[in-house]
Amino acid sequence: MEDVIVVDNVVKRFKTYKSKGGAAKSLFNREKTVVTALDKVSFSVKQGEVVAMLGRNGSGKSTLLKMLIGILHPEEGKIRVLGLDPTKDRIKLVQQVGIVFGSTHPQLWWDLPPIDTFNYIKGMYNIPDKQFEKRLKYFIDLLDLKKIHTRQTRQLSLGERMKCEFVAANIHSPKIVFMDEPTIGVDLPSRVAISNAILSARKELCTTYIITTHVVEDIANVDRIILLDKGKKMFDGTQQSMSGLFKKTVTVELYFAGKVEPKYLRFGKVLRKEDTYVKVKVNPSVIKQGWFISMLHDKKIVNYKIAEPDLTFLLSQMYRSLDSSNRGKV
Amino acid sequence: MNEWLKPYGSLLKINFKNTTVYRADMALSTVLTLVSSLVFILVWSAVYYFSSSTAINGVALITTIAYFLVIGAVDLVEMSSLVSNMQNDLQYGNIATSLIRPMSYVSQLIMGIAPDMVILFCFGTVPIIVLVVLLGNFAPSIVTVLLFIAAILVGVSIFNLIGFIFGGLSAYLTNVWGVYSAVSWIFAIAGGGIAPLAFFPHAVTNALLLTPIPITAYVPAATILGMIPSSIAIQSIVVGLVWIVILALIAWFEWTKISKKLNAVGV
Amino acid sequence: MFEDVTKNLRFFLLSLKYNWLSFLVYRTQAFVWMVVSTFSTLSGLISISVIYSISGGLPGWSYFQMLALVGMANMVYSIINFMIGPQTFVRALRNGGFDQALTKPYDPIISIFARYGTPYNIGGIISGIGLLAYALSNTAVNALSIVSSILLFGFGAAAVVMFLVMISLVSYVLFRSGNYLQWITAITTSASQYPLAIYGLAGTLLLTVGFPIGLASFYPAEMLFLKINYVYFLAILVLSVVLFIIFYKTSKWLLKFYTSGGG
Repeated sequence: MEDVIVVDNVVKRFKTYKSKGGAAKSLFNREKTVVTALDKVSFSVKQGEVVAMLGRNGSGKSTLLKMLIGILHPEEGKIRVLGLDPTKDRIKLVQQVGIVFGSTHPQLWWDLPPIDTFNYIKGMYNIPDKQFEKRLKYFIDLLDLKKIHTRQTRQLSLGERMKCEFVAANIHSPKIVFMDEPTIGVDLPSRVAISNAILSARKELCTTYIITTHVVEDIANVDRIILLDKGKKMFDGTQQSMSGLFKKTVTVELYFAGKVEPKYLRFGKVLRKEDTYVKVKVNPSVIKQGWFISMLHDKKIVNYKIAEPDLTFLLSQMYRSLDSSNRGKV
Repeated sequence: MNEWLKPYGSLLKINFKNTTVYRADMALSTVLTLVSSLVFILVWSAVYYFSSSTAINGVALITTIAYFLVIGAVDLVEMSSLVSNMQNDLQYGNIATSLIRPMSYVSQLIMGIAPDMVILFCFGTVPIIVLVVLLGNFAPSIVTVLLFIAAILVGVSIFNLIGFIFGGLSAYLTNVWGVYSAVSWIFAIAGGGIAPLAFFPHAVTNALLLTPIPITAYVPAATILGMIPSSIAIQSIVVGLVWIVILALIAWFEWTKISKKLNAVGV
Repeated sequence: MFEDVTKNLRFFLLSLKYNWLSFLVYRTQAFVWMVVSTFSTLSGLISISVIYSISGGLPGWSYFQMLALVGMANMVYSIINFMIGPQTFVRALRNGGFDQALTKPYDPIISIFARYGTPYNIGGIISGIGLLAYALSNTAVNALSIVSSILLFGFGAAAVVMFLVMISLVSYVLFRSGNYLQWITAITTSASQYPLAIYGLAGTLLLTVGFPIGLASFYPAEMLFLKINYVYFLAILVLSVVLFIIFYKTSKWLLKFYTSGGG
């Protein structure tokens, strides 16, 4: 599959001002500082991939996304999206991409129903009638918008609006859709619906998705994770390869008929303990040991659960290691 | 007493800082008010130049020039963001951040507009008026100056009470800005903003002096420049005070109704 | 000049349609705003009426000729606001709202007109036309001067609108603010309701080249009443076109300094 996005050693800096005193002093005295938002970031994305860009606030995710669309321009380095330079060929590029900015900069007309925005987009991108009807039906069914898309946008909940924003960004058959924190403040059912819609659209329409997000549940089904921190790319790989970076552990949860006995607290690191419950972190080799399997058959244990560390845990480990030792790129 | 005043002091300080963030903006706003007056000054200077007498309707050119400068200076302190602040609060739910503070909402509104008014009054209104009075050789008596200050205070109060009433209408109407803009225009036209009321027909001027409109601009300017006698100034101030009472009652009644509708997400 | 003029014009008209649909959702408010937009014309009418009722007026301009000038000046003012609300535009630049405009496959300048104009200023345009029509019904003008005046007005208005786009971007780049731009527009409109000669050479130059509202109000009015000859007419026309091009190119260049906003 060809690369649809190529980012090569991109650098971006911003000028900002710092106040040097109180209300009256700041009237006359300000210090100029330069912030490096992106520092030699490189990566590529293939057609049909779903890539999540993660990072803390101020890591450079949104800046990078805006540079891919041509809203911001790199100071150094090269960007190619669908073979085009976003800075020079922005208009040609945005004809083929869709963008969701989340609730901060909506595309939907506030006082009109979403269907009016969809019709506006139809006119704007010159979508033929049959194609428009087909795609509209597809997305309305996919996201269950039958009773929603004809109501005034201002009357919809945030979740409903974000689903409609998703439709607005996808209805003109874009090759790539960029989504900048699309699910901030959105309820769980709507987040799941959008996540499933991304997978469905990727499968049926071969659309590439680039998503910046803080919400871990949004990236459960992505192909790849790019982690930015302080403008640098710190990780680029799958969830599995991320878990491979850290000492392997599994968590074991045990549910008891009566009170937890001390012997059940010694086989690993206790993460949580209650009267009839304990959660322990152990080395993966432990769960294959005979004595462990026998222990699970103990009548005192009424239920148990064994799981690999989830993404939240992995990410928190990742951020901890970035903070503590300036690990550099992985 | 100090403990009670502390939250208000903090709020005032941060509002002050917020006002000064875009300082070029503030400076430009002040300059532009004067430029606006300059347009009328040049127009009327041309009218006087090509007319056959040195005074029009008993008003000399120097007085007309001074009038427009003083009107501009008074306008600076009467611009109020009450309507937009209240609309943001009542309609869009920003009131939540105000209601969680240990102080009354109305006090917070006043703390919100006070920095703008204070800065513009100190750095705009006062210097301009002092300059005009000195350079124009106007010699207002102490009584005149006191009447001028009283007229400004009455005018500012009326403007802000009207702003509060219209701002409060945000609780009932989708957008009050249109209606408020219409009222602002009427005040600008009928308040002496485009020509001194002395140039209007007497019947029109006399009728207008019974309304709260002239006290917001014409009366203060005409008082300090000696265009109207003290008796008219006093009469206008008294009329203005009556209007303050009427408008305050309307505002209080409206606020009582709105308070019952208020919650953390607006109305 | 515009990348694909027809395509961009179609986009602008499409956006205008939806702007109107959105505006007319609240009919009472829409009506109030359209009425408010006529107040500038009303203010000019009262001002001229007061001047001419108590004095001989301004030299070389009769009462009705002045009303025509006021009508034209207010038409320009309303067209400017119809096409672009500078305050709203600069606010969108500051908070990143302009991102949406840059994600559309059209000339970004057209996207500005599509997003930041205010439809209700049609009231001001209509009131300006009304005042102009009333003034012309009481003065003598010929067809040729009307056509020449319309040409000057059209190109002049285009230059002024593009100037507003440029100055909004300059204001954003330098000050990150544009609250005063509405004032500047209102003041210069107010000034352009009167013969430019009263402002001296500096004022005339300012309102011709600095903030070129004179190109769309004063000079078309002069042409209408044949106060200027056709050589002057051509010179003003060429100046309008040249300024339009300069402002357009400068605006496109200034867009490079847009830094978006938010997260």
